[in-house]
Amino acid sequence: MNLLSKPELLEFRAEVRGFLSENLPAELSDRASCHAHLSREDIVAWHKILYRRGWSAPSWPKEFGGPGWSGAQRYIFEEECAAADAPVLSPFGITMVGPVIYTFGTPAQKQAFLPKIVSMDHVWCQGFSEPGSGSDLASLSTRAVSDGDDYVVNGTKIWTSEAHYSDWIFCLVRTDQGAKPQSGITFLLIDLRTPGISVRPIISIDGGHSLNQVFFEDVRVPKGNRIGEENRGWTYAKFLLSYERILTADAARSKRRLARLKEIASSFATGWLLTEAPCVAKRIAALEIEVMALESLTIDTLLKDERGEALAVEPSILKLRGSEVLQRILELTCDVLGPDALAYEHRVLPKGNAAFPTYAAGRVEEYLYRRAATIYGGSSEVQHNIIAKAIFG
Amino acid sequence: MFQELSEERRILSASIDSWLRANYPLPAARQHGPANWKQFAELGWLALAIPSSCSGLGGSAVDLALLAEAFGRYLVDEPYLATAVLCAGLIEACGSDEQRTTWLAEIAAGDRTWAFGLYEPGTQYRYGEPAVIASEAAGRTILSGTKSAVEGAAIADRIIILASDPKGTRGLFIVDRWGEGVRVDTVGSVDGRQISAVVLEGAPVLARLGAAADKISSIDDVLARALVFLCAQAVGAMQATYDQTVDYLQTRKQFSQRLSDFQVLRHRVVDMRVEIELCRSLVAAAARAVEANSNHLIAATSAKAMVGKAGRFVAQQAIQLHGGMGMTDELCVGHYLKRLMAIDATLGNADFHERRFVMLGQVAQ
Repeated sequence: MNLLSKPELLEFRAEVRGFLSENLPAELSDRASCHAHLSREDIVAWHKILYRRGWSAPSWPKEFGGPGWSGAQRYIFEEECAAADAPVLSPFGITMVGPVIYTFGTPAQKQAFLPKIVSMDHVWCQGFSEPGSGSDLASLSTRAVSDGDDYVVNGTKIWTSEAHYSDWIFCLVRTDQGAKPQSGITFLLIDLRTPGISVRPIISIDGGHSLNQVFFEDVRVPKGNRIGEENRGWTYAKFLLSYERILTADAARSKRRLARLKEIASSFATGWLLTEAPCVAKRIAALEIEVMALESLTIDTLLKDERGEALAVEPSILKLRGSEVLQRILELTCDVLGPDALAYEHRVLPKGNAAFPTYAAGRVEEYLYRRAATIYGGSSEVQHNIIAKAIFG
Repeated sequence: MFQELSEERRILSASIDSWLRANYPLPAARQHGPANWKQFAELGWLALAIPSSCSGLGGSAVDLALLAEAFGRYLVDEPYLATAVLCAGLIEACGSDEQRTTWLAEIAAGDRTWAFGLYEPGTQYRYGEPAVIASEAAGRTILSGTKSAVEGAAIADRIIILASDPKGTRGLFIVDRWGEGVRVDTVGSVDGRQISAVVLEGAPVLARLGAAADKISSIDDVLARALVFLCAQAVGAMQATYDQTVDYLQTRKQFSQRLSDFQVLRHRVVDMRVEIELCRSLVAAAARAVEANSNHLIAATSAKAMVGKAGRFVAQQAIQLHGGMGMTDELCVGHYLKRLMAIDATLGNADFHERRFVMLGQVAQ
């Protein structure tokens, strides 16, 4: 990448790489590379390692505890973390609610929440989707009724990743029943230890547990935990969603996935070397080109964002194609694994049995879990609608 | 699955379906045990493909396809393929008269289960040069080496192993799964069943299947039948997940409309239907080709290649169209995806069979 080859950026890359090689524990990167579902302990442990270096909120400005990096630096950091198999930072605090708080929050909210997001003393989760409101998010029906200094919240949120070990949840709730769906929504920050909240695990098709359903029964939330104005929550949510999408192209991680795929393809000791099999080599090449394009557009978009220019269709394009490319890489990985894609519980395998190669560990799990990539964070259909709206109005 | 079926086959198909519908619970509520295997024997399913001269019902690949389609629809977990298709087929094709009479009767009665060790670590789907060696030691034949991706080995009584004898002839050797020198390492498979590695360390051979002649072409014939079985299972699974998706889109509303009113979603369902209809027809043709023993290798390979890709496509679409619900273990759509993935990965995936298609000479040089 030419844009990333300025001397100061090369120096920065070397610094990040050096830090990772000295500070990322091997057992953490092993688990991160083989498991779709990490424990709270692992996620917090890695976050705190970065926190001590001042790097735990890569996208944040310095005044709120971020490193104040440029877009190019942010991408380089992502890329190096991905290449080292560092755990993915939990996005709900750093990427989602944090920027909402420092953009729209009160001084008291900034003071109360931002330091604990940066330090990961608070683990956050996101309460947007509901059983009846997925793609049609604005139809959500969890209600918050004003009662003195509090809101009283009733309803349920679903697909809440990490809720079972989170401390706080940010929620969209309905505060005005009569208004147009989008104009009756309010953005609340809710302490998950408040009485009346319960969490039900949802086991996903890969057999793992990240997803949950969260129930609210007469949950009292202080009005001081409301972001911005009542009934304007949709605006803040839209800000959050567009912010979220720049790096959800996941180009850096897909690059790592592709590298892993090539390692697998070249590791067959006998017979057909798969990278030499033209049909497989061609499929890998096609995906590599896609990842290059995603990487290029990601960097362009980060730079555009940094210059303060409005982002139009870029975030949606990155989310749309990024999730598809990710899924295609994982599909091809299963294809290349061939019969090795059958065994699933690699965690309990007898070590040293060549019939269960370690390179297969976690790959099928990742394929299954990432079928959600075109569903979460605004499904592909929603992204198509957003782009179409930008084109046709 | 077939355009025309005899009255007898229609009855067979309906009886299989009604038994599974009544007795075979959905994955979430499922318990497994030997009871089902005995039931399968009593229903005659284990004898379906065994010749009538050997206590069987003398069914063909077409009959097996009818059973398999229902197995796919109801997500049947039992390692039927290993015992009743692969090993029964190998015993029938390669065994001596005595071996056939004894062992096929045991299989038909549900008294013994079998598994077939074909593949080896690191060689993907190629089995033509087995590294497992049969050698003579102290007057007996023993096997050494490792077989991978063995279905049904965990619960098998006997395992058939493809190995090279001292003369380099590729033969089929039977070992006692619980005998000395045989270790079976078993893990869960992606579709909630079991998959094993069979590690042989001087394992004594109970018997050699048939005469000491090369068995590769017999294996290919038996595999053709097994591929049809897998393909028909995939068609059943695709149809079931398609049906559930159509139902879901007609029930669920977003933006005050039924999902089935959105053109983009309708078209996705249409694409699923197109794949299923093409697969159904190609698999039926493959079943007839195998039944008639005419161009059966190419027919089975093309069906497996098509079904491998289409199955993944259809199941992935089903999940996407179910949204978050499709990602949950509670619904069946995810289980169909996993079964279809496992079917693709068994006995050669789509990639492999496309290459095999080339090798079988169907693409002009």
